[in-house]
Amino acid sequence: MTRQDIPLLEMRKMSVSFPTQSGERIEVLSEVSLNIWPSEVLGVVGESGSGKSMLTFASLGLLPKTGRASGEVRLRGEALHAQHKRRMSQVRGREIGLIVQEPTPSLNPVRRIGSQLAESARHARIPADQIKSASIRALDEVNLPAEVLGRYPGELSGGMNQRVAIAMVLLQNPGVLIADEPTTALDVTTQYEVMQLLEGLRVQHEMGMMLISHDLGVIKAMADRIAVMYRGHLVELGTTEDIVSRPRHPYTQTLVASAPRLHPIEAAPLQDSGCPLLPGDPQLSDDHDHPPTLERDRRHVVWCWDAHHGHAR
Amino acid sequence: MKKFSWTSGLSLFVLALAVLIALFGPLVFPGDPNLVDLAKALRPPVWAGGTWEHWLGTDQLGRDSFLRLIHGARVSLGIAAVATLLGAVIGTLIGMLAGYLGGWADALLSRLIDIQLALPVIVLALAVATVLPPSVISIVVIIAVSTWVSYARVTRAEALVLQNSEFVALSTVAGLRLPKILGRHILPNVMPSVLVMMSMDFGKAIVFEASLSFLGLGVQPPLSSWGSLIADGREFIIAMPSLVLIPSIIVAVVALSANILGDWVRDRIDPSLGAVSAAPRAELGGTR
Amino acid sequence: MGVSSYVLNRILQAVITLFAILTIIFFLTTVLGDPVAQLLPPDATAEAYAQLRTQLGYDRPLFVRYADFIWSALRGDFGESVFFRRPAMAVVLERLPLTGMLAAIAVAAAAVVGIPFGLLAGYFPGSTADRGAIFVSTVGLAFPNFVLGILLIYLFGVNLKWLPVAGVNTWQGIILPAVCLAIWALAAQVRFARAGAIESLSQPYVLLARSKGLTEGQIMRDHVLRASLLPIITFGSLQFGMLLSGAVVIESVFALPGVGKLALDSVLNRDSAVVQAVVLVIACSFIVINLVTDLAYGLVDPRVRLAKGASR
Repeated sequence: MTRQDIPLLEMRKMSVSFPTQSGERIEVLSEVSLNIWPSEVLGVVGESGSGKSMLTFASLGLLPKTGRASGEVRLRGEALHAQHKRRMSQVRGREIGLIVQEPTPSLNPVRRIGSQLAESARHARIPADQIKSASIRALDEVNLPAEVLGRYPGELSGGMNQRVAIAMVLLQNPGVLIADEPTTALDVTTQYEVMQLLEGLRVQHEMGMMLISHDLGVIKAMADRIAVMYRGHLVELGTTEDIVSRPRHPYTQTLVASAPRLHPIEAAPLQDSGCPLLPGDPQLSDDHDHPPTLERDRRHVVWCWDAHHGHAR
Repeated sequence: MKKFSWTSGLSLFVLALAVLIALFGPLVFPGDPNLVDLAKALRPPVWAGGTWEHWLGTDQLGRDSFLRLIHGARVSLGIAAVATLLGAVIGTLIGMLAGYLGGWADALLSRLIDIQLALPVIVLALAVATVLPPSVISIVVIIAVSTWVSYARVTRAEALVLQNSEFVALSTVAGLRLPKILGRHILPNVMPSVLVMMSMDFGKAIVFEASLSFLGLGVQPPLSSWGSLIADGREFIIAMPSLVLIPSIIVAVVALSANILGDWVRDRIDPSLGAVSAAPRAELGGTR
Repeated sequence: MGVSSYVLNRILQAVITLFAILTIIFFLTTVLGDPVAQLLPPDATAEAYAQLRTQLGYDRPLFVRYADFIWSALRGDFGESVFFRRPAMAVVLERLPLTGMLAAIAVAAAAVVGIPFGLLAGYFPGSTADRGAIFVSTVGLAFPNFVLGILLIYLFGVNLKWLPVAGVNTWQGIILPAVCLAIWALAAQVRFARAGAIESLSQPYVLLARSKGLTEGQIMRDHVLRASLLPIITFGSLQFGMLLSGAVVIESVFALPGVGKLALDSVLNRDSAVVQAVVLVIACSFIVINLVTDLAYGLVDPRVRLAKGASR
């Protein structure tokens, strides 16, 4: 049913700005364009503050009140507008599911898991008499027992709560899943289990997925394509293979080179690259003009002022 | 409310004016507030047909209302200031000691705080009032007894934290005596919170004193505060409303100004203290 | 630590508090004050003093008197009121319903008006509604209660002549005192509900609820109100206790024959037995309300239950 020739989710020239204390607006996301194609995993990697999460929130119309977004979001070709509250309410959850970083505080502490699952089920128009059985089935899919229904989030571990969050997404069965740092808050063994679970369910439910993480290792293991973000800009986009083995943007190169390390970003080798987006060159990076785009399709693309530099490697 | 808005400015003006009048009013406007002149009893204020000789009118004994208000300001604001200071000093000292000493002193204080929080302040005031004859001192004591707990609570918590910190440990090693450690290291750290709480308590103390005096548990004649002026004027609410309305409005306006300024000081110095006064059990509501 | 030991712990704390309060009453009245002298005219002879002292049992050792006092107090026996010539506790209890009704009306009004207003203000911070809420709560909390009472009496009783100036002979008599108490309670409730809504709206679970496609109405009802409800109910019940004592002033302003007015009159009459009985009754209702709220809270809110289980 899903058409393979149009993107599931198309984000075009997405920009987000916030007011600073002095009243000026500071841009945290600059004209980022990305597509999620049917049944692919698009990895988005970048350090915190690179604008990855802002891209999610802007697409879903969930920016804080002070945030201002521009750009275009298309769901299977249909333009979405944040101000169309009714349509957005249908889109959220039922068309685009979201999994966030902190599972436990993301569940209401004073409501039982069962009632929060039922809430998702009702939104997905599951008939009232089937909500309980559907919830139990969804819990089963994420390897949680039915007795979890009667528990409160505070009684479960972070890993269990993240599975509950995944079960909520399954109940709504969206075509697109955005997982924003789904494992960052979990311990290492749980991380692995949750990623395995996500991958299995994604294939089984034929979801397209955008996986956001600061950890290239996590992205690398799952993504078909990788988008690299830096300081609110999309700097490189390509297949996982290309990005990992032939990174072209200096930032990506640093990222790939330091991937296994604890602190993946090192400024030193970037200083003399001449790239405008890098630290130590504020005048240029404050320029609002977007770097020249070389190509915009599913192949390997680099955005950099120093295009020559990008190609040279 | 974070910025210095016009409401804060107006409040500052009102409060400063009240304090100036309390300090210098009786010098600028000499005259005996207790001078009885029955021939001039119950004169109306000047806008209601009175004369400029007694521009705010006179009471049932012919005493000048304006002079009584000026002298009342001294009593009302003086009691509020002294009581606030006393409560702060006692609470801070006890809190610092308990937090620093820990152990049984701390346990005792915590119990005492719990007990006092379980006892409505006015009940305490009534209990004290049965024993102490109404006087300026007994009001100051009652008000201080009702406020010291919050200082003790906050300073105890801060002293507990500091007690475990390195520089206090070093001072102990260096042989500093207890008063010096408290004075040099712990007091400066708790001072901002104490000042914030004092600025917020001042308004409450004004109201508390006025309430007690209004009930007849406060200052006794010949001394009179704003609260006792309201009590005295109350029976004339139909015959001569100005006698009760003017002091009522003054108390309300000054108390409101003190509260607004207190909130402003809190927002400036330590917004986290807001939860303490607004909601006694705010900590139960938070998830973090 | 399980649920039952949490309950036991709280009950034990309440009992300790009660004993502490009884002890304070005992020391204030019999150690600091001189109850015998209070009952005698100032010019009484030393023989009369000694005779009354023996008659009332004040010549016994302190410890015996303390035990006797506690034992009597636990049975609600504070002796006879010198003013009413009847058991003090009976006098207090017959005045209690009026005060309880006043406090209940105020708490109910504050909840019905204040909670929605506070939530609305918290949902739209900086809006006109929010500024209105801040104004109402600042003025309402700072405005002296008895001054408000006097202004209302002047406006509605003297000026407009809509309502009686004092007394509770008709149902109209209770309107103004209830309004006075309600405004204070409402101001506090607005501030509390507003803070609760702001706190709750900033939580990640609201974001996730939005991402699930819930409408703002559903989020306010099922997440924000739901999460703030327990603290709000707790606050309301604590307010009830505070209003019982707030009634002392208001009942005096409006000359209502409730517990508060009784307490004040008894202090002025030096009717020590009644004062003790009032202090105990108000303190007890305060303690019981606190205890019930805490227990209900601990049993209903999973967070408190879990936290208490873990830390205490």
